[in-house]
Amino acid sequence: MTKKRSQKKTPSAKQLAPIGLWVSGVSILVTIFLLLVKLVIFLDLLLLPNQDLLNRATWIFSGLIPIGIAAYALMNPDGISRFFAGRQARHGSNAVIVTIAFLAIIVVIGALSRIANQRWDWTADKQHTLAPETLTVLNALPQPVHAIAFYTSPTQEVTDLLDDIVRGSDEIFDYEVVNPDTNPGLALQYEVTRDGTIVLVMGEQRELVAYPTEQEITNALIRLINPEQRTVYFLIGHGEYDINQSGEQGYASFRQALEAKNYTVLTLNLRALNQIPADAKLIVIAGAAQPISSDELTLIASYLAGGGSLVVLSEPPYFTQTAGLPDPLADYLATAWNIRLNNDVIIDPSSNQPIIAISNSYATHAITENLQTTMTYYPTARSITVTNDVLEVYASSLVQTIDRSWGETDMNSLNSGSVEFNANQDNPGPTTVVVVAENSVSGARVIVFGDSDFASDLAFSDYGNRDIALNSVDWAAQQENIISLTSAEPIERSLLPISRNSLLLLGVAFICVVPLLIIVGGVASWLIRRSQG
Amino acid sequence: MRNAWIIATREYRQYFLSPVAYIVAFLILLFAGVLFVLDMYIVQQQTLAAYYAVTPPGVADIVIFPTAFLLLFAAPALTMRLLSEEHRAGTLELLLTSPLKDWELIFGKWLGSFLYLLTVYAVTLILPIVLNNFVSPGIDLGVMAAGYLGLILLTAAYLAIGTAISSFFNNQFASFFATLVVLLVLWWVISWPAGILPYNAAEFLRSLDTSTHIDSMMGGVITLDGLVYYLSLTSLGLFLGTIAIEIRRWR
Repeated sequence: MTKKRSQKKTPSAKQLAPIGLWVSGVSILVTIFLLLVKLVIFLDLLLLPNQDLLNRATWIFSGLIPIGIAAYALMNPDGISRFFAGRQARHGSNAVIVTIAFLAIIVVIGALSRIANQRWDWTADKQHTLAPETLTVLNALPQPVHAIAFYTSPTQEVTDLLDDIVRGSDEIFDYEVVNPDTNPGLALQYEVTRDGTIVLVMGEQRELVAYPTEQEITNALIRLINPEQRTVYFLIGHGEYDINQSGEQGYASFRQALEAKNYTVLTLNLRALNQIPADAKLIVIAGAAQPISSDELTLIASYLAGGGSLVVLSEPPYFTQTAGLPDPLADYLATAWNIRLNNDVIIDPSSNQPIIAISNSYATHAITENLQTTMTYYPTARSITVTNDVLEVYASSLVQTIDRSWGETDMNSLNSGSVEFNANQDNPGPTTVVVVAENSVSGARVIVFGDSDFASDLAFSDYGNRDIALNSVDWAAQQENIISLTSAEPIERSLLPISRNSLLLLGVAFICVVPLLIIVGGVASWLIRRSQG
Repeated sequence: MRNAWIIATREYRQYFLSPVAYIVAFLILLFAGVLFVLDMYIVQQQTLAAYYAVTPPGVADIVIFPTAFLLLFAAPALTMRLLSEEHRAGTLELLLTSPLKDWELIFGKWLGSFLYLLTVYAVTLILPIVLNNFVSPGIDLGVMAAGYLGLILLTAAYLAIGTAISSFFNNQFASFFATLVVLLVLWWVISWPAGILPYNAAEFLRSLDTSTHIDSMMGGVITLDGLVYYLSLTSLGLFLGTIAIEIRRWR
């Protein structure tokens, strides 16, 4: 009614109406242009400094199209009716206008509901709700965090989690999903090598999350809030693997992966320096070909007594040509850390080359949490035995080989290539390849691998090798879970055992009786209807 | 509103005389029953092999998802007759000359079919109740409720689309196939290009996909945009149906 009156009394509205059409016409052209620009950017032909501006402009102009048409329709309904209905009566024009208005309302409400992004978690154990710790961390963020999720196809789980985090952070946290296949440049820039990695960027700092769970993301956020220098020293001077060299004898991939995780990776020549740098979070001895001297060992031992951390990547003496020579490091580990390095070579009959030990049997530990059944392999490894001589040290086996493998001590049989298991001298399987130990008094942590080749450039990116190497460094440097979340424990629901008879009963009831009742009802109603004519 | 209710109850009773409605109820219950027993059987085999606790089949897998899938065919079958048949039999003229508003006719027709499917869904509740007895410490009722809510919203939207399309055509088979095509597009075809589009465009297409929203509800999460999406689709269907009847009136 009011519309009609205003239209009659103010003919100027009708004259102004074409402006609406002009606005939407121009908006259509601009939108098409902006969409073309977006396509060009999507195809990586052009890089804009401010993508957000482009997106916002596209939204505004595409929004102006219906607004312009709606304005025209409101100011000049006859024009629309003439356009659509021609000679049709007034009803037609009303129908078209009302339809357009209805669609516009639906679109607006739909867009608003997406922006509001409200959701309710109806699961009994609140599986889809953030833990209170995560919310506290999000509230403590000093500046905006931008997450880039590198996924070829993001799972619902991950996008839901990220959406939850965005909601919980009052939008100070935002994220985008980037396909590393179509945008390899960005992946390279952030040193992402695995599909399914999330990079958290805050100002100049960034953190890599390889297995995006709420726990991992929260801990990465804490590291962003409290940046600290984390320096890892690789010992040199005994023919160790070179962190600056690529290839068979190099650890360059390992070093790059650590640097991507914000570690500072340096070499340490103890003979020249004669002291351990104060900022050392961790010392790594990667495949020493000659024994560590007892002077150097004294320094390392006093560093550990002060709560330091050590990762030893050992090698069988047979392959380093040091069999029979005294090894102060092995003696020290045995007497102070309950870790005895055996002078053998692990033979794994399940492997193509039996001197490559394969494992997918891991103890429950922060290091192996993400590995589950992914295998790791160790070319030329020695076995390790865990003892319990020292009371304040708790050492435990982390990675074991299969039952059929063993630690071969007869090196002559290795030379001749005719190894077999001798129960009275070889170490029986399953053999231990990796041991973790912690001193409950000093808090020092030690991880010993019976192999160092698994982390060399040749093997580093295969299977779970990269994960076990990086997680070991994280744990030894005391960088594993800074806090653990107290989200509601998921309720374990399990199926009670069902007897064959009750299963049969269920089958008869739900496959035969219930559907049959429906059919009977149908036939009965048909008969009744027929009898009634 | 009273007129709408009269139409709805009349349609509702009609369904109990129609073979199509019995076939729909039969298929929904048979699918759910077979999946339920099959899942229990498979899980039972696992229990014999392993010693660890086995995850029970979810209500979403045995009732909600198969029913939502069957609905792609059931909704067109149930709605094809609603207005096309009235038109073919010439009774639409009578309805249009009666003191009945257009929206009351459409809403009543839709409500009748909606109430019929709700009745069928009420019967499917036996399955979760039986399943509950085999699960320790019982199934997650919140997830079940969310799943059923999703199914009911999806049903409302599908039936509204079917009702609208039935008002466009005089031939019920034409309305059946037209509805089927529209539902298949909304359930399945619409997110095809999502794989090759940039993230935001793909997200936009997925938000128009009827299966996306019910997926999250089957997982126990109710989203505002999901609710709004299904309700908008329902109101759009009812609106277009009303408009179509109105156009018939002055043609």
